[in-house]
Amino acid sequence: MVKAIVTLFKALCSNTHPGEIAHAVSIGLLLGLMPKNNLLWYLVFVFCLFVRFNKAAYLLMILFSSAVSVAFDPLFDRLGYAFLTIPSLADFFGRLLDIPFVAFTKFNNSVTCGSFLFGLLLYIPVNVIARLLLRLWRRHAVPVLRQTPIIKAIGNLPLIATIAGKVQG
Amino acid sequence: MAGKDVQTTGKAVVEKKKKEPKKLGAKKLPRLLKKAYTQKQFDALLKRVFVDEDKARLTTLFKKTEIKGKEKLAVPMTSEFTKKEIVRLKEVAKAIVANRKGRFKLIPFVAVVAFVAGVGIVVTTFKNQIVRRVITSAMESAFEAKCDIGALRVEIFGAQLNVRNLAQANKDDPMKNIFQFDNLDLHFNLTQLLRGRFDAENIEITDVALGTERTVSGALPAKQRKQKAEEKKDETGFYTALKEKGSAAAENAKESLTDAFAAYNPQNVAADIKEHFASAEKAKEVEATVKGMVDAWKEKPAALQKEVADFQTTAQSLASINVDSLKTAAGIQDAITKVTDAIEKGKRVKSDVVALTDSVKSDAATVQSLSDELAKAVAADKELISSKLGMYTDFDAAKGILTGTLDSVAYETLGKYYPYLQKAINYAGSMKAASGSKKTESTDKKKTKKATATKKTGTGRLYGRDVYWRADRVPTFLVERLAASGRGADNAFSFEATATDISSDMDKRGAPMVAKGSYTNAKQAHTAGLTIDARTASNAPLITGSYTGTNYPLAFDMTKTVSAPGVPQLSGTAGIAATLTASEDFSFGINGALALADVLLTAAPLPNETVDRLYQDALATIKDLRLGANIGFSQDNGIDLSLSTDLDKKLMSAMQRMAGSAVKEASAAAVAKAQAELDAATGGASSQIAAFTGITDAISASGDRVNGLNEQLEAKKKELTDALANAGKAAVEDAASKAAKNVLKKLF
Repeated sequence: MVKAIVTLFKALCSNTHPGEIAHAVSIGLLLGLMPKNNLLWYLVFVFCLFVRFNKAAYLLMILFSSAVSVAFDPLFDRLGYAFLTIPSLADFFGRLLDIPFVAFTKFNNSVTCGSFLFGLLLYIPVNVIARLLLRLWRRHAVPVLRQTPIIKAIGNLPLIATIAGKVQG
Repeated sequence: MAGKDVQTTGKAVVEKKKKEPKKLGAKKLPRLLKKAYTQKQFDALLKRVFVDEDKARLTTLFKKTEIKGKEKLAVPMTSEFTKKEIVRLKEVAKAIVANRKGRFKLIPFVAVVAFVAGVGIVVTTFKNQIVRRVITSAMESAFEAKCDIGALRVEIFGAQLNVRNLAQANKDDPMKNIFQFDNLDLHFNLTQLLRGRFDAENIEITDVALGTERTVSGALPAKQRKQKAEEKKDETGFYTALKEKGSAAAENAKESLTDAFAAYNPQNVAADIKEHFASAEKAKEVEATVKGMVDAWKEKPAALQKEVADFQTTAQSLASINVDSLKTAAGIQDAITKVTDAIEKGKRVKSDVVALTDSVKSDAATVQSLSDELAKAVAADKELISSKLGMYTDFDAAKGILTGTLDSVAYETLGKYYPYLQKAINYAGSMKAASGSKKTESTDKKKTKKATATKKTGTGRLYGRDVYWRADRVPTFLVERLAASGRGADNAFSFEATATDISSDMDKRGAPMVAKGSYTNAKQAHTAGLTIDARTASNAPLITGSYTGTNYPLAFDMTKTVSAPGVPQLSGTAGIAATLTASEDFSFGINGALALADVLLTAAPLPNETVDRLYQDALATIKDLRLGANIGFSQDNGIDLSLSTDLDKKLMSAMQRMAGSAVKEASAAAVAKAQAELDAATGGASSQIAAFTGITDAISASGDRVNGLNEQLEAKKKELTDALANAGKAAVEDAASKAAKNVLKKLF
């Protein structure tokens, strides 16, 4: 956890591509909101391992959004159920469910589907907001932080230096 | 002062020189920054730098320079950097390189795909071996003996499994197989399997053989097995009820045979008759009363007889007087006087007899009354004896003697097989409960709409609602059809079994599990049916079973249940028909009928030899039997057992037929003994009555004798009186004659 936070902080203050962090936040949010008892979650999770983005932001976002997802379950249930019961899609969903392995994704569960949809809907806004925030952070906060004696002092602490060194190494 | 200042300034310069960081040349820059770039390339480079400070630093660092006639931007090689700057620039260069790469990591992806493909190839190549191993392990684990499979073929995309020549060894007899079959075809639904459900559309097992010989031992290396403490959980109260009723039935059964046949024991019969003799008491009463009277009157007849005897002597001597021998009137007159005196004496004696007779008359009437009462009591006792005699030809009283024994056997059999039924109910009940719980998760769209999404998962998340767009009739586990058949060598036997809709969720499947089977061999034919209906909305019983069988060899050693003399051992061939229903509350009902042929009944000897001979002979004559059973159990009402059999009836009927000379002799002996007991009981009274009767008879006889003597004397008196009259007349005539003669003489 400390390593992830240090890595993320380092990425925020370095030249890491904003897209890496923004995508990591978006996908982390998506996976964090989804229940983890279905194949869809694991498929997305594994697929994301092949995508180049900030893993620390990704993992931290999963943890954070998992923690808050419980509060949104009723919303996911309503959203998912509303989507799954669209009459024009019923035939498509019926056929989809008959495809081998697809049932393991539990896409026909209202909370799973709703959270997945909610995550997808938030993907682009979260991505854009993350990029904007990152730009602001790097433009205004990073120069200040770099000159702040406290940050310098913290950065010179043996423990933080060791961690930072290991992260870099 | 100035010198001091110079000295101080000099120290500061030295310190400043010491603190100045070491400068490194441009050679220490990362390779990316040592290259020369066109303006366009440099702009592209800067696009990958996102910290403005770093961007400005790079912009200032790269200077325009002429390289091979082209204007390019590069870091002058004369530039110097601190170590910190070099480190920072290395980080920036590293970030630029990283930011150049695409978003997708192709190499790890390819590696994973290759791994998955490898797994696929391995599975495809070794699928048969893997499945064989899985099946073998599962069977060996289940049966604790070796399992051999001749050939096995799995077609994943063909959704088929074929097993040939499977033989499962018997752990108790390793050189024999429990079963073996030549062929098993399993067609499963791949789509459902990949949805996490096992749906066997058809399973066919053919050429099944049981108990076949093995050439190689099927024993597995000894393993330590966990000893499972099998405790009979009696949550339903069945065992409590069974123990209560079974014990009572066993106790009844133990005594019933001995007690029932004890009634037919001659000694017991005699004792019973003696105990119930009404005349004994009456006889005692009569004897006591009459004895008093006899004692009071016993001297009287002797005194009277003496008086009569004296009178008789006198009367006989007078009666013997020859009237003709009396020549004189005086003699006659004397005799008349004596006779007259005797007659008077006779009258006195007669008077005494009459007085005595009158005195004894009331006692005689009492004795007569007592005698009549005693006669009635004796007659009643004789009637009792006659009724007891009838016992030996009427064994109705012994009906039901085996009811307790049969009940005991039934209770024990019930206790023996109830655990299996309990397991079946448990299993079917859990299926029903599972169906009920799944029902709330809904199985179709319509129901989903009404479903609530309040159920929480283990992580605290809301479960939500599962939506299905087509009627989903496939539960997690489903065998749509299972068929097995087999035939013994030389058609020694054949069997067939089918089962349909074996499912883990019958609500979802919408159908109960139905199984049917039949087994026939040269002599026997068995058919069985089983329906498990775990649908929550169904009104049918949870378990319904039926069985019919013919020529089933059956042996009941009832002595194992009830150890008592006379309890029979039964063997024969049975025709059985039974039905069973059971509910999830563990209540059940069994209705069965058993028809036994070629019956052989034997029993341990009864205590009484005569009765035992009769019983054993009667048992031997029974060759067929019928038995009906209605057994029910519920937690509220306990066990209700009702057995009906013609065993008792046949046994009694046979015993009646067998009640021949031996029994008659025994009964005659019993009756003779009873008669002797009766005679002994009434003997005293009878003798006293006889004695009293003797007294009255003697008195009466004395009276009669006196009367006779008096009549003789009266006759003699008349004869004498007539003789005297004749003698007087003759004397008158003689005197007249003489007077006439004298007159004549005087005249002549």
